[in-house]
Amino acid sequence: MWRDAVLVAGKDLRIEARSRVATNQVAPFAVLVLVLFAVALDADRRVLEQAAAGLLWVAVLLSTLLAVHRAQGVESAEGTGDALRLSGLDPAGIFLGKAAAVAVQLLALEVLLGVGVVVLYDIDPAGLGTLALTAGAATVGLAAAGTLYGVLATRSRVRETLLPLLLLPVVAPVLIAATRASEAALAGDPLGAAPQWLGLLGVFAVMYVGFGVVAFGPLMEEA
Amino acid sequence: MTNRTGTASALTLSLGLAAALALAGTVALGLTLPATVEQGEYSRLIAIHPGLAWASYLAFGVTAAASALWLWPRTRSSRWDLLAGSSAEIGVVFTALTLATGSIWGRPTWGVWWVWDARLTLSALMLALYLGYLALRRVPAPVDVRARRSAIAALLAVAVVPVNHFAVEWWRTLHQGRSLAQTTPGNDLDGIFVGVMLLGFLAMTLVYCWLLVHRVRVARLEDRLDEQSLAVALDERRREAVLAP
Amino acid sequence: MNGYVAAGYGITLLTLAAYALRVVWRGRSLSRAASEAASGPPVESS
Repeated sequence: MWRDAVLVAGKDLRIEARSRVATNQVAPFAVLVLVLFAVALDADRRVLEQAAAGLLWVAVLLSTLLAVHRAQGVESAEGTGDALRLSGLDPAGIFLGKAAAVAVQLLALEVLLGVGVVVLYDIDPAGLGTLALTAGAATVGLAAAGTLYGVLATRSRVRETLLPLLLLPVVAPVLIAATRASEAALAGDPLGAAPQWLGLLGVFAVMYVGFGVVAFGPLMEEA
Repeated sequence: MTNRTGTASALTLSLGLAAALALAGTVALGLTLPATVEQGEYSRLIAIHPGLAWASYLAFGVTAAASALWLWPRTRSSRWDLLAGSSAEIGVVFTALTLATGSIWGRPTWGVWWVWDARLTLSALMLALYLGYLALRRVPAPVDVRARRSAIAALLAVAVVPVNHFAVEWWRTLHQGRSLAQTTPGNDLDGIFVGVMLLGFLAMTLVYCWLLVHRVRVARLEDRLDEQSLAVALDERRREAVLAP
Repeated sequence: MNGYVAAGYGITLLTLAAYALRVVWRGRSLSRAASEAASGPPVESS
């Protein structure tokens, strides 16, 4: 299973590295979202500073949708999905590999967006350890849930509209928890609330990785 | 009745009659509830709002149970799939009504249509979850593919509800000093309110059951007609193939 | 009677009635179509 996961993750990341879609389209899109938020909020420093964590994670959520579309689109083109199914790779491994590839892209994106928030919204980076833990746990959960719902919605002509409707309510707790944890980290965690939120993110991540390992096989067979 | 048209039967007739009676009683008693000091006449909404919320939870619970029964190989049957889908659709109607009546109650009581209260937020998220589930069910697919896909989606949706619950609960309690529990109905309940509320629970449960029986039968008819039209189309193609020179 | 209370009851009863009618009517039209399809070959491919 793990060997298959590494194989699939390597394949997906190589495709992304060659096609440059992530670097040339998804990353600029995410930064553009940050700029648009600032424009919409009238570039008010105080408001931006208060809302920075939430805006960052909304941008991550929107980018997750794009990354998952990419990850599934790669398989639905030219029958490579069938090839993957017939390859004899462990479905759980395929799931872990695809989720890992999405997670790596999201982590890179979060670093970029973090720098963007610091530069554009004038945020003082603090509590970097907590921030890193938050980003890690949230990303694993987002990538796992995204990959799972991606294959659920795939092969449907309404995929582009179905995936957000399916995925966004499910990852709403990730948005809440990641935002609160980031806010707490940036504020120096005066309430000591960050561990609680990190725990919730961890539970979500473990849950969806588990679901994916179990459910990906049956879902992929029929797709 | 041999020439039955529609999805009615002795079961739905008696269920429907009981539901109508209970609902009529709920409305009649609910509208004559005494006005309370804290909430005035708005407390009369207590006859229907908690009942609607209960029915929506019941509906989503049935969806989850039926989905699990479909996924379990020994109890796999298309009836569980139809039951899950039908129950989710009715649950969406009840959740929407819960939000609507809660909002109507909140406007005069809290002064706003919407409050980011934990329970309200959770209900709104649940509505979105099950709207997604219904959208997934409408994606054209063979019957058993649709059944597997939606059963898994239903269980994923149910699994996220407790996580959602804790997320919104902590969010609201950590960020809001004033608890809304002080102004929600439930603290100033006395006998008559509890009685009418329980009657409301009963009425909404009966309405749910009646709707569910009809809806499952409609779903079965839909699937059967789909199969028939497919068979007819295949038959026509075959005849064309024979006639072709 | 208070407008908000009336609106709450009204919206609930009307929505439930509308949904119930929709389900029952759909059941009628579908079962009619099903019995037509079952009895003899369809005249038109409708």
